[in-house]
Amino acid sequence: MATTLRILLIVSALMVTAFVARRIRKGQFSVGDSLFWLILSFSILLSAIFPGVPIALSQMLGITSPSNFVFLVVIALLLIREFTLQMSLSQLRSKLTTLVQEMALDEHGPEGR
Amino acid sequence: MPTLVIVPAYNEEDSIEATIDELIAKAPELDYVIVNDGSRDRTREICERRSYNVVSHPVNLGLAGAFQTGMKYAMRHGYDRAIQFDADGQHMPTFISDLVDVMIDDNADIVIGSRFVTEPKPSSLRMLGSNMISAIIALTTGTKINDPTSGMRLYNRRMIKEFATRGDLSPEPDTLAFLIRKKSAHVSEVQVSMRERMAGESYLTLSKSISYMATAFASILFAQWFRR
Repeated sequence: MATTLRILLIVSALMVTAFVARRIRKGQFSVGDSLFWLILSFSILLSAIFPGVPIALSQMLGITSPSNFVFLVVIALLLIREFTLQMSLSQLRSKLTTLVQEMALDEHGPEGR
Repeated sequence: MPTLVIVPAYNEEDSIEATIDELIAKAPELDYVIVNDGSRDRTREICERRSYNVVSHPVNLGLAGAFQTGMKYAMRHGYDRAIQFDADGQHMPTFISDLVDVMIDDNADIVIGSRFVTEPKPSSLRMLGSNMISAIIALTTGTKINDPTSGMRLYNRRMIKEFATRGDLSPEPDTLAFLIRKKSAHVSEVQVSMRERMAGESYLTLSKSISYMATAFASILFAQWFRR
């Protein structure tokens, strides 16, 4: 893995951690929400400091370049993230629908017609 | 309790008054509820001025959400039957009693006010879509529905409960297929005529038509098998 990529990875990992820490301090991020990002930046940091890990893993999977392995992992993580986001969006939408409906019906009152 | 007429309305200030006045004049024995789906025009104001029976959403949820509110209303007030009725003047109130009669005679769960039981389908691009949906419904359920896209559908108490308590039923053809297959709903059709819309614009643009068909196909041919 090229030194430039390693430096880039370390810098981004530190930046992500800093962003997350700031959000947590401002109370805009729950600890549960931040977990994904902390683990992500930690693993990026690890693979940049110990390139032996991604190199060994990419050889195991038959991927020629370890950087390709890193990209692959990041893309996979993003897809998983996208999927869970869409799921929670669906749940939020259905909760919002129920709220709006119950509110409108309650406001209308019990009298029939 | 008798039959409830559910009138979902989103930005229908030009037609709501005529539609409801006609409904009250031609079918005075029926109860109705307008579901004002967060309209940004004067729909709510008109309904309140005329003291129509209206339930108003604070925000727009879309047709499925608005119709479900009507079904929840029907369930809360214990109606035996509920019919979806367009606010734009396409549906004619004189046919509602025909649908109710057929529901009682056939012991049907759903009765569709169909444009093509005795009348032939015109051949247009829109009807090609309608035929394709008919075909895949027949393929997956064995039930032939001549007018699956008709918005005039009468539901009995059992179907009201399904619509009111589940979050995933929209008043669309794929729901018909689902109810027939998974809830063994018995569907009848009655010949009705429909008018051109009095006001407003049809929501069927090209891109919306394509996504409507794609959703119907995906739902009937794929998602249906996993739903319970």
